[in-house]
Amino acid sequence: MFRTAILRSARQAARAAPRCQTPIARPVARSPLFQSKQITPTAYFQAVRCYSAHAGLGKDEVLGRIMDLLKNFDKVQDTSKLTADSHFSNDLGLDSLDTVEVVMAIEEEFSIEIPDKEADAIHSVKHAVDYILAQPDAH
Amino acid sequence: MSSTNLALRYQVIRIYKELLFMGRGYPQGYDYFRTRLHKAFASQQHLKDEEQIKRGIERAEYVKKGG
Repeated sequence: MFRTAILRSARQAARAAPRCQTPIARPVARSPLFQSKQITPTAYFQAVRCYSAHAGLGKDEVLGRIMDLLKNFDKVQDTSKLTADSHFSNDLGLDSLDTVEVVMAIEEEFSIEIPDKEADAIHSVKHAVDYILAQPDAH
Repeated sequence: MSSTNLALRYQVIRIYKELLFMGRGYPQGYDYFRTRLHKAFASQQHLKDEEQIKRGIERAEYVKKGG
């Protein structure tokens, strides 16, 4: 049912695209690169923006948010040691209980729930960033 | 670390999280609660014996229910 609906709309979009631009489905960007080539209907269809699609989190954004969170964590005394690959216990002087608190804060920041086992495996900023990037429902 | 110890570790972490969560509305402030809870857990970190760890978890459960 759902698949036929998608196929139908895809076919319609492919048919409509070369003829004219419909006001609702407008191509995102029409760069000269696109125009120089012959425009195929499929390329046109991909250029239609789906507003419900997940934009995804950028690595820099995730890193920035985690760094901010750690900066505000009062157990981290030496903020100069805080880098993209600092280790929680070796570089920042946090013990395992502090790490639990940091992971809790990360869970809240990105509104996800990290299972016990995975939460226990997060020991560094890099780990945390990689984990968040692998979560499709992180915000 | 054996599997039972690992399971106990997760149990301890879980109750620690639960207590932290409950402490958010603590009258003297969350930071006061957090440092004291942290100290209480850290003071028991030498426990190696499974029975003793279980007793510690029971104590934490008791605190949770009382609080």
